[in-house]
Parts: sequence; structure tokens; C-alpha cells
Amino acid sequence: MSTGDSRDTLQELDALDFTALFASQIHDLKNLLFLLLNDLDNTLDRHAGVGIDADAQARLALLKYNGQLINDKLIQMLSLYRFNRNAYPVNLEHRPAAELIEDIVAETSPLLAAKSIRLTSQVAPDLCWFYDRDLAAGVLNNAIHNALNCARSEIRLSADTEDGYLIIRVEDDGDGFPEEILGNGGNVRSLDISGGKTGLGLYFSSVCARLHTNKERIGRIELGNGGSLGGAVFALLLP
Amino acid sequence: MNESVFQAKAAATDSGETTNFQEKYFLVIDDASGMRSSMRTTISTMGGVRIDMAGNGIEAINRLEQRSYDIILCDYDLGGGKDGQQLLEEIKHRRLVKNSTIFMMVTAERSYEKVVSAVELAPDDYLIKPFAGQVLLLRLERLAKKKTYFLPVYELMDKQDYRSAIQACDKLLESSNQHQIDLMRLKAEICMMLGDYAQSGLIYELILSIREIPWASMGLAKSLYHRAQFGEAATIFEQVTKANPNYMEAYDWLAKSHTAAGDETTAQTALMHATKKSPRTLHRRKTLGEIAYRNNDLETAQDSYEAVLEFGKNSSLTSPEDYANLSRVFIDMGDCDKAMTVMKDARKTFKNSPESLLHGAVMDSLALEKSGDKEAAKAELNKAMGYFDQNQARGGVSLDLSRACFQLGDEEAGKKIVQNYIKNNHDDKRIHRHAEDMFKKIGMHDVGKEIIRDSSRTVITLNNQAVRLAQTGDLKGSVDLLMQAVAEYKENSVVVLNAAHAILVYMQTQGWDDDLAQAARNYMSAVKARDPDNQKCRILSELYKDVARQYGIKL
Repeated sequence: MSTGDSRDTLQELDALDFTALFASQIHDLKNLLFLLLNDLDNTLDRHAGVGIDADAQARLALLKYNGQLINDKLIQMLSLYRFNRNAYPVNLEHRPAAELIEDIVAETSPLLAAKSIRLTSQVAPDLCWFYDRDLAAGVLNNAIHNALNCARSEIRLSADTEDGYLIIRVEDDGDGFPEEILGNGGNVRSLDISGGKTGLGLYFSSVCARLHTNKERIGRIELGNGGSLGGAVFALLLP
Repeated sequence: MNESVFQAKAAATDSGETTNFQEKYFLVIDDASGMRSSMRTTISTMGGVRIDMAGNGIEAINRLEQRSYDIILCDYDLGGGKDGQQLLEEIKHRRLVKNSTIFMMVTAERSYEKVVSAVELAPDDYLIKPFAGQVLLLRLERLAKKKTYFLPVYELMDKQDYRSAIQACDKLLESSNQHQIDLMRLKAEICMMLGDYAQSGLIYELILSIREIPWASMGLAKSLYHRAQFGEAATIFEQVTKANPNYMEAYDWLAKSHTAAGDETTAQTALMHATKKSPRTLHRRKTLGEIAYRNNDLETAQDSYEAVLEFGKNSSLTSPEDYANLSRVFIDMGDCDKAMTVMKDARKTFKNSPESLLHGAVMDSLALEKSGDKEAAKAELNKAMGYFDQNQARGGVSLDLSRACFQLGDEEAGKKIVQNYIKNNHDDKRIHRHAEDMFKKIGMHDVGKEIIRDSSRTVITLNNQAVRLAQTGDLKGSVDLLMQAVAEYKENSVVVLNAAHAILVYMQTQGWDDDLAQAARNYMSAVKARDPDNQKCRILSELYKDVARQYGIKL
């Protein structure tokens, strides 16, 4: 093939809309990841307790945990892309907060085998609120997956109301958030992609929270240290 | 760290007993066989054993026609053909599932949220891949519980006993619970089905006072529309499109409201906006074509009707009438060859069905007339008249046929066809406008208006006469008059249902009559067959049940 041809090919590349390409490829990645994680789930279920030693089981769980982290990132990128393209209608539904918590607990359970961590939850069964389930779950999953990295022995998930907000907290008993993150209270308003750590998760969470509005009030996230377990406290507040 | 396997403590719930999935019939619809077997494994893990599979929409429909399922898991992306949402709509419209059936959409696309938050017919729930098997189990258990909670209402709805269903809603609403908003929504929807738009409007206002939710705004605006408050309705529909640009149904209703208020230019703008966002929706393209044609925007009309034929290819969603619509645009543009080519396509596509032959002959006649070949045009017209007399479903073709008659000098025949068409649709403003346009086009605007007015008045007078007879106590006279009218205007739903109504009122005071009751039933089912969502029909079947109950007649 002549050099002229290859230059033509490169020129064609120049014309590619990489944003759209990435967005569509992220879809495919998510599908592949689904097959992978689903197989892993079924394997974990089939061998729960029998036919496989605890070490292998923990390794499988770790695999799943890392797969979940990849999924989080993909969801965050895709969602931000959609928010930007104005293609995401917030779907507020009146549901028990307990449903959300239950879902998160169910999704997290298979990951716990990899870590010496206990997940507890606390929510009144009759507490109902208007929220977008997928946005809220995206935020909380991200918070839990972070907590799994930091907690020593326990993560606590709780829901409550205060001043007309539904507050969902993810607390752990680790060392807490470092000062530089607490500095801006968690409400990241911009994304710095120049450094190594982008803070994509926090930024995504902040945007999801702000997409929840009720008349004049707007949702937010709050970060702090201490709380009932003495470690990091991540709070999602929805009006 | 491996020694300690840690359990997660489930959140506190009032779960009660768990669902026994072993007894449930599952249907999994997915085009990818890998996904299907993966789902089967997941369902087996939950204890499900009765699992059927379908690889596409057609297979799914076949399955559903054969047996009823308790739980349907459907992938949104089904490869080519229908997507999961369209399949759901077909299944619901054809009542292939009960109200208590769980329909869960599964999707890899987060963008399905865009679909689900903005459709009239939403699935019971949806799951975004990847999901843990445990989460599917939780969701299904919740849904099963919710369906059980709503069962008293659903059972009455399945029996089409809507008034009792409303009472069942009220009973459930007495105690506060997590399903309150859903219950209110369901109650409002049933009120709308029964035509009680005042009540549905109140319910939606109440929901909106709790929270601004797009579907509640839509419900309120629809209630206003049905109470002829088109301006207020349009304002709300427009707000919905502004706040939720993907709420496609809102554009359709916005256009409908503007049309009803007489502003078809704005209606066209709304539809063009929606078409840009979602180009493949056939019904919207059809409406846009119709409105653009009325607004004399032939280019948009051509574009829309062409899109209908293109996107509707290989589907049952187009009819010879769609070809006639496009052909008519070409005739008006003076492009008679194209007009005739379109109808040739129609005959080919529909394999010379009677309907395609009729439309074809009529449009060919009009095209030939326009190109100046009167003799050939007359020959086609003669053919068309022959087909017309044999054809059952002939509504829409009437105007084209009568136009051909008028233009080729057979005024009497043309007049008769229009009169008959209007008499069978005496209260349909849309049809009256189309007829008026046709007359305008052939330079007979004033005469035409008179024909339309007189024809419609004939039926109105007859109706009024029947009402007067009933008011003066001559219920039998009223019944007789309306039954005669039905014989003449079989296609007029208003007349047919009024006859049924008169019979029911007559029997209420004069006693049950098997023959009359049979006639009333026939009338109602005739209307229901061509218009399944007819509200008056629903109300009358409630009345029928009351009267039957009154005389201890078994239904």
C-alpha cells in the first residue's frame, strides 16, 4: 500500500467525532461487562460455600469488585455525556427509601467476601420520597465502592429526613476523607482532568444531586468525618 | 482476610412472605442467545422453573397468544424490527397480558430512562445491565407484592368493571401507604377511561400540588383538553415540552390542542419539532402530513407521507390510504406521473387487495383528469365506483372519489358520496374540514359548505327528534327512530351508540326485552370493534350491567 493511502486513512480519522465514538463504544463495553459480571455472579452463586475454597472465593469477589469499579466509571462518563447533551430526563418516582437501600445492599453483598467488612443499614420501612432511582443508586454505589477501600470493618448505610430533605448517608470506620477533599465540602463544581486523580466520582455525584430539584430547593452532597462510625461520612441530600 | 466471610444485613422491611417463583410462568424475550441463557440461569437461581424463551417480538407474541405469563422479562433492544417498548405497547393494546402480569424491561442502555420516563405505557419496572441476580430477585419480589396489593383493582379492570375499580381504588386509598401516588394515578386513568375528566383533572391537580411530575401535568392537560379547554391545555403541554424535551407525547397533544383551537400553523410547528427529535414515529408523520397538506405546505406533506411509506415498509402499519395521501400531494403539485407510480406501488405492496384497487383507481382517475386525459380518467372512475360499491371499509376514500365525480361531470354521484360520508361522521370536525378543503380545491367552496352543513344537520335533527320523544315520555318512539337511523347510518358511532343508550333507558322503566338487549349489545360491539377506546361505549356497558342487574339478568 502506498503512503498516500495511509495519509488518506489518517485524514479520515481527523474527521471522526471521537466524543460520539467513545460514547457508543462505552455502551458496548458495558454490555460486555454485563456478560462478564453476570457469569461471575452465577459462578459465585453456584460455588457459594461448596466446591471452592475461601481463598478462591475471595479472589472471585475481588474480580467482581474491580469489574464494578469499571462499571461505575463507565456509567459516570456516559451519564455526564448525556447530561451535557440534555438527553437525560430526571425520572422522579415516589418510592420507599428502603427499596433503594435494599438494592444497594444486594448489589454490594457479593463484593464483601473480598474484604473483611460488614455492611449494615438503617432505614424506616415507611419512609417514602421522590427520587430518581438510577441517579441515586449511581451516587450511592460510587460512595460504597470508595468506602470499601477505606473502611476497616464496617460500612453503614442509612436514610432519614431532615428539613425537607431525604438524607442518605454512607459512613465507614476508616481514616476519613483527607483535608483537601473536605475543603470544598464535596460539591465539586468542575472537573480537573490534568492531574492523576480526576475526582470524577465526586463530580458525578454532585451533578446527580443537583439534578434533583423541588420548587426552589436543590439536592447536594456533603462530605465530612466522624459520624456514627468515626470515619468518612458521605451524605446525599435530596429535596 | 479470607477467613471472615461477611454477610450483609438486609434493610428492615415489612416483607412478609416471599414470592414463590416456582409457580410462576416466566417469558424471557431477548435477541441474543447468550443473554437468554444467562437470564435462564439467573431465574433458576431464584427458584423459577417454568421459563419460556423468545428471540424476537413475533415469537414473543406467538407465545403470549398461547398462554398467559406471570412475569415477562424483555430486552429493550431486540435487534431489528420492534424494540421492547413497541412490543410492550402492542401487547397491552391487544390485551395479551392481564393487568396483574409483571412486565420488566431489561436494557443495556441507560438511555432507556429517556424512553421510560416519557411514555404513556411504561413497563412495571426496568433494570439496567449489568445487574446482580440478587437485585432482579428483589425487584421481582417487590413487584409481586405491589401487584398483589393492586389486585382488587386490576381484577375489576380486567372485567372492564371500571366504576367498581374506582371504588376499589378509593378503598385502598383510605389507609396511607407507599403506593398512594400510584393509586391516585391509576384512579385518574380509570376516570379518564370513563370520560369523567372533571374528576381526573382534580386528582392530577392534587398530585401536582405534592410534586411537579411530568405525567401528572400531562394528565391534567389531557383532562382540560377533553373538557374543550384547549388554550389552557396547550399552555401546559408546552410547559412539559420545555421542561422535558424528550416527552414526545407532549408534542402530539400540543399539536392536537392547537388544531382543536383552530391554529393549525402552530400545530404544524409543534409536530415538525417532534419529528426532528424522533423521525421514525409513523403516526406522528401521518398527522404532520395531514396538517401540512391542509396548510398547503405540499413539500412538508410530501416529505412526511414519503417517510410514512419508507419507515412503514414491511410492517403492518401502512395501508393503501397512506399511498393515496402521497399520491394526492403529487396531483396537487401537478406531478401526475409520480401520483400514478405511487398507486402502482400500493397495488403491488398490497397484492391487489380490494382496498388498494379502490384507492388506486380513484387516484389514477384524479391524476389522469389533472393531466387532461378525461376519457381515461372516466374509465378509471367507473372502475372505482364499482370497487366502491363492493368495499366495506371505504371511509377515507370518499372525498377523493367524490372529487373525481365532480371534476368529471357526475355531480349527482359526487354529492351523494359526500353526503353519505358526512352523515356517517356528522360530528367529526376533522372530516368536515377535509371535505371543505376538497370543495375549495375544485372551486366549489360555497356549494360544498352547504352540502356539509345540510348533511350534518340531517343527522343532528334526527338525533334531537329522538331526544325530544324521550323527554316527552315516548321512549319507545325514540328507540324506534334511532334504530331506523342506525339502519341508514351504520358507520356513525354517535348514532349507533345513541340507539343503544335509548334502548337501555327504555328498558330501565319498561322492563327487560331480550331482542332489544341483543340489539344494544350488537351496537356496542360494532362500535367497539372499530374504536376500542370509545368512552361512551364504556359508559354504556356500565349502564347495561346496571339494567341487567336491575332485572336479575345474568351477564
